[in-house]
Amino acid sequence: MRKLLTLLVPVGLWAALPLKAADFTLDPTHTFATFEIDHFGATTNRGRFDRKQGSVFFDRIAGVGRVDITIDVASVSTGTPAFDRQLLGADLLDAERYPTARFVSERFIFQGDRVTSVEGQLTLRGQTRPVSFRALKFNCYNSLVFKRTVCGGEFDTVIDRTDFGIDYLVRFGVARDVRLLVQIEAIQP
Amino acid sequence: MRKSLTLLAAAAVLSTTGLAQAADYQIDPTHTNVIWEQIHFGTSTNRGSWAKKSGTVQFDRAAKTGKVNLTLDMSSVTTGVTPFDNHLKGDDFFAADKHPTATFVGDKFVFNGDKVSEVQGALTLRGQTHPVTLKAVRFNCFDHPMLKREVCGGDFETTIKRSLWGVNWGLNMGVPDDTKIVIQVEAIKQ
Repeated sequence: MRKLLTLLVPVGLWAALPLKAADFTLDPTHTFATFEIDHFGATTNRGRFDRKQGSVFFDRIAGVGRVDITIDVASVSTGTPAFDRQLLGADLLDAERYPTARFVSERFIFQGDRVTSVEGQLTLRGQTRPVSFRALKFNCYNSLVFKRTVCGGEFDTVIDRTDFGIDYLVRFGVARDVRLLVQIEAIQP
Repeated sequence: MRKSLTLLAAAAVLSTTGLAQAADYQIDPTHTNVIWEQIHFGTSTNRGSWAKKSGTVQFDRAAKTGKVNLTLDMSSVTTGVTPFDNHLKGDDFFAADKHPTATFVGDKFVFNGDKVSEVQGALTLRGQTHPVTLKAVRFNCFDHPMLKREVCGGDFETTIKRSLWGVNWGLNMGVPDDTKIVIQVEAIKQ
C-alpha cells in the first residue's frame, strides 16, 4: 500500500491523456455513499455503505454519461453495531427483503466539461423514485497508479425517506429528510 | 405524597428545560463521531472515522462555561478500505503503536445566546499538542425521551494543518496538508 501511495504524484506531471468515450471502471477504494440524518435537532447521525459495484460510461467531449451503481445495504457502518442492526431491521432498511439499493442514471448535466448534476432513479427498500444528485466537486486527473485518466466527484442529494416507505418514528418527529453524500471515482480504460 | 411527587415532577421539568445547572455529562459514544476529510486529487473527498472514543463534559449553560475531554483510539480508524486503515495507523501517519490515542481538551466554550458557538482548546496528536478551535455548525440540548435525561450536543468543524502535528506523509507529493475534522458529539447529563 505504501508503494502504491508513493506512486500517487500530483496531477500535471505528465501530459493529459485523451478523454475517450468509454466504459470506466469504478474505483471501490474511492467510492462511498454516506447517509446523514438529524438527531434531535442537535447533531447529525452518519453511516457509510462499504460494499458497492457498478458501471460508468462517460464521454466528456459529447457531454454524455451513464451510471449504474448497486450498494450492499448490509454493509452499512455507523461505528455503532447496535445502530447498524437497527438500520438493517424491518422498521428501516429491511435488508433481508431488500438487500441492495441501486442508482441508475442516463442523464449527466454538464456545464462546459464539468458534470454539475446527475439525474436518475434511486431504488431503496424496493421502491424506485427519481433523484437528482448535485455535484459539489467534479474533476478528471491522471493517475500514475493506474496509468489512466480518473474522473470523479463529490455529489449530494436530500431524499424524503417516507417516499421509499421508510416511515419509522416519523410521526414522533424524527426527521424524514436524509442527505446522501457520495464520493465516486472511476478509471478510464 | 402526591403533592411532593408533583413538585418533584415540576422541578424536574424546570431543571431540564429552563434552568440547566453546572453538571457533569458523559460522552454518548453512539452519537459521538469524529470524521476526517481530505481532498483526493482535487476530485473527491476521502473520509475516515474512529470507531472507539470516550470522554467527559462539564457544562454550565447558565454560567456559560464548560470543559470537554474527548479521546480517540487511533488504531480504531476506519475508512472502508483495510490497506488504507493500516497505512494510516503506521508511522507515516498516526504512529498508533507509539501514540495510541489522540485527545482534544476544550476548556473555553464560547456562547451565542444559550447555544455553544465554538469550543477552544488543544489537540494532542502523535504526541504533540497545539491549539484548535472547533466551530459549532449547530448545537442543542434536549430531554431524551428514552434515557429520561438531558442530552446536549452539537455538530462541530475545524480544519487543521496536519504537518503541525508531524503528520507529513505525502506533502512533498502534493497530498494536502489541510484536513477537515467533522465532529458529532452528544453528552448525557449524569
